[in-house]
Amino acid sequence: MSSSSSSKMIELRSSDGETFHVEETVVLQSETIKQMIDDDCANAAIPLPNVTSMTLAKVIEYIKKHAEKPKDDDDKKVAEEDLKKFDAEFVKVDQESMLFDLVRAANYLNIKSLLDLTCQAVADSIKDLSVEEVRKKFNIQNDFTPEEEAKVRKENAWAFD
Amino acid sequence: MSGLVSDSVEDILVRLDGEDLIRCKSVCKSWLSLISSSCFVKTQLDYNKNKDHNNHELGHRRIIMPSRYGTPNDNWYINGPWHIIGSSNGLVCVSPEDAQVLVTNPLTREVKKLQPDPQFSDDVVINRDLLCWGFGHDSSTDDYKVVAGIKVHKVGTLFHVLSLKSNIWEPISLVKYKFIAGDSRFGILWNGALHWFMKDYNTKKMVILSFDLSREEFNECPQPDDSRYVFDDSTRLGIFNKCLCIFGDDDDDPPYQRWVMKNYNDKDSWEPLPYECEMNKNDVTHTLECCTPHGVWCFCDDKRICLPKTRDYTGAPIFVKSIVSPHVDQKPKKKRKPNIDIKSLEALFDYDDNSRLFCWQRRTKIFMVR
Repeated sequence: MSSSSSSKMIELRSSDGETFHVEETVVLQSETIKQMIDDDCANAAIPLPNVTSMTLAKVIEYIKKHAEKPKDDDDKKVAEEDLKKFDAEFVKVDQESMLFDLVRAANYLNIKSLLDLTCQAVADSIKDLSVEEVRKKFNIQNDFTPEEEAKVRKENAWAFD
Repeated sequence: MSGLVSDSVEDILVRLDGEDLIRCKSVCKSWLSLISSSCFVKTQLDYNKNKDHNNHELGHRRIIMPSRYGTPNDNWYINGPWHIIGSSNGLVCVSPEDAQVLVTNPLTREVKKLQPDPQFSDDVVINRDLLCWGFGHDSSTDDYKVVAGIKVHKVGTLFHVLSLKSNIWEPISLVKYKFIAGDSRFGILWNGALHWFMKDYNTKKMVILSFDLSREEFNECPQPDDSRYVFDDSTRLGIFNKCLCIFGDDDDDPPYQRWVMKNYNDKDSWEPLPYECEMNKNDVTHTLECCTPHGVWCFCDDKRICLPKTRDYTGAPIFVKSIVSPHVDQKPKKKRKPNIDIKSLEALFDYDDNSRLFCWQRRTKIFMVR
């Protein structure tokens, strides 16, 4: 990539100590990092204590792809289609925990499009699941008493058919 | 403990549809309280509104009655005795029979039965052609209003309003306009106002009468100022391309019978639509299947319209998926002052022995002095 040499590189450090070098123009998609750069806090490696190297690598893959600029209008249409395909593939992760990690990272780094994409993927994955399955997926403890739960269910019995 | 993604639970849940959301209420206490909060309901409504608005492949999402014969429904608003009166923010106002009215959210299946209008006399109840009506959201009070106009012989139309919060019918205005029968009786909700084609008793001209749901004011909306524009019996109002539009209900549209008002209430912004333009091509319709044995509502999901002749649904209400409840918070209602001149009504009463008017007049007086 010829353009990369002209852009300033930013260093990011994951929670497990791995460092990543990313072009500033690419990394600006993260509002959190943008704020750090604006506040002049980005001279050394930026520590991201909430993001593992595996997740960060995925996030960087995403923002790099989304930073590509189409050259002309014809190219734009192709690029849009290409991006759609990329997004669809991107959320097809092997392990479900990765999707949750990406939601958390997108939230922490404040990358709106990535948060939209991953939240939609999680929402799609709980469609038609039973309450027990949803709890298991989200690792949520049922804190209702049996009476309380029965009451909530009774009010909307049709939704549990 | 909200689980793995506590900070983003709202971002995820907002993307769920009604049934999944309702089920998620019983996941844990924090989810129940989140999904039940008015703030979340509003966020979810706005999310779905924006999603539909920004979906360029979608024309409008509309709600209609199912067809009885499995064929495309010519009369979108009617199924047996059931009528759709209107829809706003996911709530659908329906008249199941006679002059009864209820408001339902077909996604959550909540139903609120409304107080019958005591001024509806027997002939109104039996013959709905004496009524024009509509339903919409009043943004100034975050309330919903049902509006019903009763045809008063040789005089005009007497309007009553019921707000969901008060659940009481109150007279608001007697206007010197006469509405047309058929599906023109359904107020087209656009820009916080209901719209009907009506005939001015004095000038005998057709006007678009608008009723602002917040200010409760009637106004005339401008029509195309163009010699090519002709009103005839088949002319209807509807919504097309996020604009108020005029269209012909006739099989053979004359070329200039379809117009859209690009900027609301701007006379000069009316533009004719090309003849070949298909009006509901990208619309999606949902059907309201009435009354199961339990009296609840089934809801048929996204049916894309595939019709050779497609303008039939242009007048059907716009629908949005939401979990807004028809059981709105009860708050002290503000007193309404009817802008009706009682004296002039008394004069009318001399030559109109309509018991309906008399009944209404008595009530209005009581209303005025309290």
